[in-house]
Amino acid sequence: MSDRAVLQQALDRIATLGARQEPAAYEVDGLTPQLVVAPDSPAALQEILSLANEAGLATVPWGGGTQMGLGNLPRAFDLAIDLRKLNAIVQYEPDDLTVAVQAGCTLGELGAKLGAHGQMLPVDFPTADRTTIGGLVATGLSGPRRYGYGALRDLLIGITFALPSGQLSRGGGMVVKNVSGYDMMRLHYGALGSLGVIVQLNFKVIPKPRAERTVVAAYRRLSDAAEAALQVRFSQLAPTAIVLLDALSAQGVGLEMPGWVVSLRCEGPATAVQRQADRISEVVRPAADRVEVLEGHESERLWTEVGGSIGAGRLGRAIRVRIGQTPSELPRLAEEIDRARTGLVVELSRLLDIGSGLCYATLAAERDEDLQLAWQRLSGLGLHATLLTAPPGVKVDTDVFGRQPAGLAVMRALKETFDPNRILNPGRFIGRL
Amino acid sequence: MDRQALQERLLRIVGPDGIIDDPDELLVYEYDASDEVFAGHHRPDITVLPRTADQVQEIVKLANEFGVPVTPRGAGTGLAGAALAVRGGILVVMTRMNRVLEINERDGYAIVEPGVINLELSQLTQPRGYFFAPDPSSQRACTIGGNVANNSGGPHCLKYGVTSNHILGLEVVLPNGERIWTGGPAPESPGIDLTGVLVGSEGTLGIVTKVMVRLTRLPEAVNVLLAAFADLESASQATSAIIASGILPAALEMMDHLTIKAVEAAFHAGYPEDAGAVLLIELDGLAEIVAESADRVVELCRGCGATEVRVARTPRERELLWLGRKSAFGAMGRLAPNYYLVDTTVPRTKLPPTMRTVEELSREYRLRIANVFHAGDGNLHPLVLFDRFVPGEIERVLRCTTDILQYCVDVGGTLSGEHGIGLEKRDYMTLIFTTEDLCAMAGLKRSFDPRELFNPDKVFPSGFSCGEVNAIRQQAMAKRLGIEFV
Amino acid sequence: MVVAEERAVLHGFKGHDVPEFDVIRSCVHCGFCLPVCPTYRVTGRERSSPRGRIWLMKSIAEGRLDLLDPLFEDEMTLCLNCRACEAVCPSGVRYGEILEASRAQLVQHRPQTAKERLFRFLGFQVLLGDMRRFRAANRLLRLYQRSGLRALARRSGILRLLGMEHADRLMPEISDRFVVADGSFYPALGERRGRVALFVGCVMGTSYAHVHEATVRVLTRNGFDVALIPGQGCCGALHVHGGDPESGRRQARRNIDALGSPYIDAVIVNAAGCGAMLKEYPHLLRDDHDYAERARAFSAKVRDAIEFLAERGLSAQPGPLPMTVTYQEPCHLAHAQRITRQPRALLEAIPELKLVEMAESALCCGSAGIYNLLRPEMASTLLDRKLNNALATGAEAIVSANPGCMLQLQAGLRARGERIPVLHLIEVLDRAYAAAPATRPAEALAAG
Ligand SMILES: Cc1cc2nc3c(=O)[nH]c(=O)nc-3n(C[C@H](O)[C@H](O)[C@H](O)COP(=O)(O)OP(=O)(O)OC[C@H]3O[C@@H](n4cnc5c(N)ncnc54)[C@H](O)[C@@H]3O)c2cc1C
Ligand code: SF4
Ligand code: SF4
Repeated sequence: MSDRAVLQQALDRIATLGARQEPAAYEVDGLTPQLVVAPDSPAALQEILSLANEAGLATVPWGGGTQMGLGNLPRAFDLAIDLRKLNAIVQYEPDDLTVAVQAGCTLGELGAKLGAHGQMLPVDFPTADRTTIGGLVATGLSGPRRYGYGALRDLLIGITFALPSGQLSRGGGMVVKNVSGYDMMRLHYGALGSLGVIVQLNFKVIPKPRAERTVVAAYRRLSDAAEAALQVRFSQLAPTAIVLLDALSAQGVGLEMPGWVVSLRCEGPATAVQRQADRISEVVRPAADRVEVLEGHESERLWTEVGGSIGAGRLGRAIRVRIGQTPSELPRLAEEIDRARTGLVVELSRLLDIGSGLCYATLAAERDEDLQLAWQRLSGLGLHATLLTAPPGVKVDTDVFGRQPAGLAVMRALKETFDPNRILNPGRFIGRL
Repeated sequence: MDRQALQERLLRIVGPDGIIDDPDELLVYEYDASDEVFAGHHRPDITVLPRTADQVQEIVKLANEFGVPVTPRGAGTGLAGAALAVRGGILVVMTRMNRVLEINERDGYAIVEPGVINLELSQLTQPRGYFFAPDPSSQRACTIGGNVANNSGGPHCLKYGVTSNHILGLEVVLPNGERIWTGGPAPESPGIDLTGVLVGSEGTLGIVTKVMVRLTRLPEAVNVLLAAFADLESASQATSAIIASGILPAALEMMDHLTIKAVEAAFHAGYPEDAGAVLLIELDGLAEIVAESADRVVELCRGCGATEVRVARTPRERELLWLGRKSAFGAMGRLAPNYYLVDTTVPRTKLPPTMRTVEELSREYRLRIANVFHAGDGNLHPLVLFDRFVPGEIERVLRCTTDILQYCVDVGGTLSGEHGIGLEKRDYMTLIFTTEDLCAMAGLKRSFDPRELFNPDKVFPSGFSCGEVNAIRQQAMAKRLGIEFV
Repeated sequence: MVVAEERAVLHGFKGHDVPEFDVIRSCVHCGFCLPVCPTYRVTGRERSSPRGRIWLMKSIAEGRLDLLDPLFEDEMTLCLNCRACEAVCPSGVRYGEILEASRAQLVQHRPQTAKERLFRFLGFQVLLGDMRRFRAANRLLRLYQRSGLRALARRSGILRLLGMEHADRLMPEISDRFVVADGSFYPALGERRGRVALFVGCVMGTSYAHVHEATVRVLTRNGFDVALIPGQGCCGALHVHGGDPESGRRQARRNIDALGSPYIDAVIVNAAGCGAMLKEYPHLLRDDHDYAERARAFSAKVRDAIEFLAERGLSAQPGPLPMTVTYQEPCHLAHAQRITRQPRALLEAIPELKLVEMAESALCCGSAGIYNLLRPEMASTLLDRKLNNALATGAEAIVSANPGCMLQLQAGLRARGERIPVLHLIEVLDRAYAAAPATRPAEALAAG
């Protein structure tokens, strides 16, 4: 039988397991799959995977499709596995502060359920109603609240994943402290679904703070703004997120303030939040043009918008780069980024996550070449740089994950072990794995 | 193995002061802190004490060349026998690599060698306003490298998270002799999170030669409370009440009557000796908030029947209360010549029934069991006391601890909360993991260490061979070749 | 994988003073003691750690290691017997006890060279066996030090030839007056709070006579009668630590006979090493029908001078002493007797005195009885480390509370050309009292 025939036969068999109609909606960097399948049980997923594996089908696991800007250009794309039918909240124990949820469950759905019990996962995205939990973990995106609560990675206590062979494996469990066996959660976190398809995730959840406030302070000069933010970070005060935005970025999240804006989030019991916000205001006031305090919903809304400006969703004619750097060096990085666009016609907005040590730079331009050149220059800055999202034309001949890390050989070995036929997201992960 | 040749080559790497090959002296490397009754004695063929990462790398390369097993070891305070050279070979003791290489105050991290003692790092950073949050009770003696390998926890992990949450990056010598840095001071290094995978891998995936740790700001205020209860049950209820109230204490520890007695004998920490159980609760953070939470916690404890609530007023009082808690395991030596420590975690709400079950099993097997544990995260440590010279006791201990583990697993718990699987618990792994689960883990192991020379016979159940993993690989390879030929 | 289920027959140890197996196996090898052990800190080898040494003992008891294995002897002598390990051991392993028994085993079973036998005889029997002989020898030494003979001996290189160079450097400066337990009695000043006997000992009585005098002054000033009861001798520690418990027992009986009077409230010791020994008489004499009970009663009354003053509180207010000091913990005070808070409390009770803590204040200085003579290399490594830590504080004086430590520190400072003095804590207190107005109304001060 010819290669083509084997492939077609596999696709036909897979189609019987829940084919969906609109492959065009599953575009990845300009490629569309031949088939989309939406399994409604882990067992169906296992079967699909083992068929795909045997036939060597280039497969992309699909969540909400909201972060599909991330990843290198796929080598091929035969099959999309839409996981949104695997969306059950499998087990929720409010008193233990733990939840087990299937990968296809959206952040919004889970948040609502947790919220009813006064609990939460500390991530904010404007696309919460579409972004799936599995997608979030696979892309490894966490917002600035990681400063106060840890990244999602730190809250993951268990995982179930399906390997291309069809085998279903687990790691961790449903308890908050566990060192039994290897940390399979971290193996898959941020691995862009290249080692297996995430089926279920167990988290420890966080009591929802009873109140929140955000101190917003505007400065004329970056150095003053940065100094204020770093001073709070260095103090014994405990905000849950600290970001620094340039004017354009601030505008993007609905803050109409000139210059540089520092936003600091305080969460907890009402009186504690009030005191904390007061003390923070005192620290940041001296060099500030303006200091405001946002409360309740207003504060919450701001941070959801911030979540929107750090994501890896498709942006049209723009790219977004995430650069890691130590917090105290971030201001200098912000300036370097500005300098890097010399001679290019690009519009730049920068958001510095001072709490964690990340900078998000969004650059818009009419021409791919400008964006490409911008990325080229930015990719050498900081400690590491990732092209979170870009038009496909910009991704040609580059690795969106930036410089090759020292551990690439081990990563290759891992890929080789878990996905020897390279059917999962072929070419899309780091080093074109 | 050509022992002579190996010895000579090692000698050239670490010098005469860094190698131990006298079989008599090697006697003192045949144990760690696990109970010898269950872990056994395992004498390495050679022990080396490297001083630099270069030496470690050379040692590993040599081990590869000679095909001998390598077992990393820190201070040997591990309780699961993970640092024992079960198949002989080279034991690499990391304690001489104990320099603090960098403390970055501005950004709150430090780079240390793995032999640095946990507490000494905190003591060193304290004057600069920082501490290293993971604080295993053994912190006076255990090494950061050991903490990384075991993903160790401690009382303060309730609020601050376990070791894994505090490791930013690692320099590691991989089993093939390659030396790499993973992670770094900024989060989200691209690619697979090798740092995260290495933490908790019990020295089976490589030898850590440098550790970049996150330092935590010292809180503005600290308050330690001691609440006494008539029994474990009411203390457990108080635990749940506190957690449910939304207050997140820095630590929430429980001790039962037997433990209180042993600890008092050892250190006169001032625990009420007639109490059935005590809770040690530490609150930290901004001054006003701590004061407020303390009042609330006192109220909650009283509501659950606390017979007495005390507040440590001076740093010294605080230290004494903690000293008692942190010395609790060791103090068991005062109650019985041997103890078997069961380290398991159950969902927090399952604590009361679990404690009841432990009590029943203690009666059933006629064994004294002391309890001291991290109540806040449901991580319990029943200590089964025995004397290995009393005929039949060892068997009873084994059956009793297996029953305890089985019960914990049945209510949704796990095998080990912080001490690791190592040698001691590896055969229990099948209680919680299927062959498929273990095979995936074995795949991970093979990706790092295809020759299986690194800390062999740990973590995976004895006799476990993951034929499946191999089969999948071979099948897959054939397939690919086939496709290429068509 | 189950090891030795039946009670191990004790293989290696035999005869008298066998280390107790139950004590050996009370070690759960937790490793808590490693970081505090000076020899382990220096060598980084498990064999030189408390846990390693106990495991070696255990291996001998279980027949897996030969008692006469050179490794074992080496470790038993390298150990400083500083007992830092004991103080931190959560399991309560009585390490000093099994170490001393192990040393006794070695002395019993190991063939000794003629030189060793002579050394033991001269040292333990002739010199320390009788205080009159000890003082006579000390007078000779003083002559040696003062007459120019020493300078000659040093210049001539004869000391090196005799292998005595090190011993000479460490030799205490002998005072020109000795304090002798001659029955003198010093009545309390002011309101009387009790009556105590001063334990005179050997080195303290000769090289540190001034410390004894200070002790008497401080005690009487605080309302205690002080008696120098005759008949007492050496505490016996050097014998016991050196593997000769029998001679130690002889000394113990004699001290109990002399000082066991029901009319005194406490036996006051100002040498930490002696104090620790006196407190351990019950163990030393546990198998002695006639003395076991008396030893318990006796030891219950033994107090270090610092411990005693802190316990009873100062009734007289010390005067101001404007100086900066650092405190070096004698092992046998801090570890063997667990007296750590009291010295600091007393120092803090002195107005204007500033205490700056040194790093590793509880790490042995390497003195350890006659250790610095037996293992000079390790001793000087530890001394260096100690002096570095002490000098780093910038203190004007190093305060300690044990003659051995003081000798060691002084020798080290001298060799470095450092001028800062080493003072006994009681001396410091005495100076503070000297600075106080004599007729100041007594106010009770709580110390400790
Ligand atoms: C009394 C007592 C109380 C304890 N309390 C706690 C507690 O509260 N919480 C807790 O989590 N644990 C506790 N422990 C267990 C133990 O102290 C910890 O697991 C500790 O982290 C071990 O550190 P170590 O340096 O002694 O490592 P070791 O015991 O020497 O080794 C442990 C493991 O680490 C590996 N390893 C060591 N160094 C390296 C390196 N550089 N690179 C790679 N692998 C390495 C070894 O191969 C081995 O697998 C306690 C132990 C005792 C005896
Ligand atoms: S601290 Fe005590 S029990 Fe622990 S190893 Fe040392 S001697 Fe043994
Ligand atoms: S007595 Fe001192 S030197 Fe000897 S083992 Fe104990 S701590 Fe080490």
